[in-house]
Amino acid sequence: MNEAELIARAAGGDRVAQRALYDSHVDRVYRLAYRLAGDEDLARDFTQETFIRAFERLSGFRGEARLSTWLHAIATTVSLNGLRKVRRIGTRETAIEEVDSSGVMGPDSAEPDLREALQKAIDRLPAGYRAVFLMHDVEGYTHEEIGEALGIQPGTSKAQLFRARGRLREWLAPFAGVWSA
Amino acid sequence: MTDEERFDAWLQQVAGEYHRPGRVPRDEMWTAIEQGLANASTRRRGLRRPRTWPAYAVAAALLLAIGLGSGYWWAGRARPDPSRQTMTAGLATAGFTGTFDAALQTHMANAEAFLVAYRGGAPAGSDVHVREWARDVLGTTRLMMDASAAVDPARRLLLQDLELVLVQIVQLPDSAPAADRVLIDRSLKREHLLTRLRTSIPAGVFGGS
Repeated sequence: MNEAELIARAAGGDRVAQRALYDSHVDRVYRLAYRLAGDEDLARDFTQETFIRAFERLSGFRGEARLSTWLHAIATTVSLNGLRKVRRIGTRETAIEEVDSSGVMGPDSAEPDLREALQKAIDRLPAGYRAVFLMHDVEGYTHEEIGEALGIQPGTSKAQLFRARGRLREWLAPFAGVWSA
Repeated sequence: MTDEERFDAWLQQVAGEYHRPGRVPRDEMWTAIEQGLANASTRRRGLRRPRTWPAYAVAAALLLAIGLGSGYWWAGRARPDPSRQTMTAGLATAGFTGTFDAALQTHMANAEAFLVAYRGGAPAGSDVHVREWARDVLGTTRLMMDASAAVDPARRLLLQDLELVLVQIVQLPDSAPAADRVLIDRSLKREHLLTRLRTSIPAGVFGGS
């Protein structure tokens, strides 16, 4: 059975078809949610929410985009909105100030410190930049796919990636010797 | 290779370590999804069942409409009165489609007005007022979601999407980075919220005088 037939059946509430679609797409959706959230429970919640929403709205899926693109658009919306809510209640506060003041980004730090500094620097990126950076540089999405998922132009995605890398380079400057070597 | 290119290449090598996912808990998540879909389906069935109070309200409105209509009709037959005819026509236009529908349409118009104002960019320092307005609209949206209009799946989805955007606006702090606002704008665009709100409001019912 091809994907179009599966979609038609799943839209009618066929659990077997829904499971087949889920199996085809869940890995990438979960990976994206996990990359954005960095927490297993949140990634699970976002992935579940993505598929529940998708199956509830599947009858409205017009097939203009690929199903995977449509799913990733829902996944990014769910994840970014979910993270914003979590951040608001303070459970995922990134200690931005500590990045600059704790010394972990010092030039003499060993490699584990660099890894930690990189983590914190990525966390520190604005949400939109971080999403574009993770989708492109980490998960390998194209700018077209990112554009469709985030509702922006591919050119905007490129520009945001450029700025995200620029900020990371600036914040990680004390470690410049590592990549220059 | 420039330093910038070297950095980009290095970054792509090491960034994979950031939030590296482990095993995908497929079956556990599927169980939760099935449960969620079943709950949603139960909720829909529950919403389809006519609730008592709206049914009484609609019945009362219909009875009132019939009573008024008959009264005007008889009065009109006995003594034509242009002002009464206008009134009757006005009542007919409103259609007495039910007090709830009328309230929902008013709410949709209000929500649209708010979103247009929000999108237009509130003047500096007016964030508090914007949030108050958003909170009002959000409260009513939630009331509507709990009531019988949600029988219609399209309306229910519209109210859910509206709720999501309003929650984001309400939670936006004064010092929110521009990126947060951009994300709200994107949600607005992606969900075609304004267009859907506009199409949900019957032409001529609330427009102009």
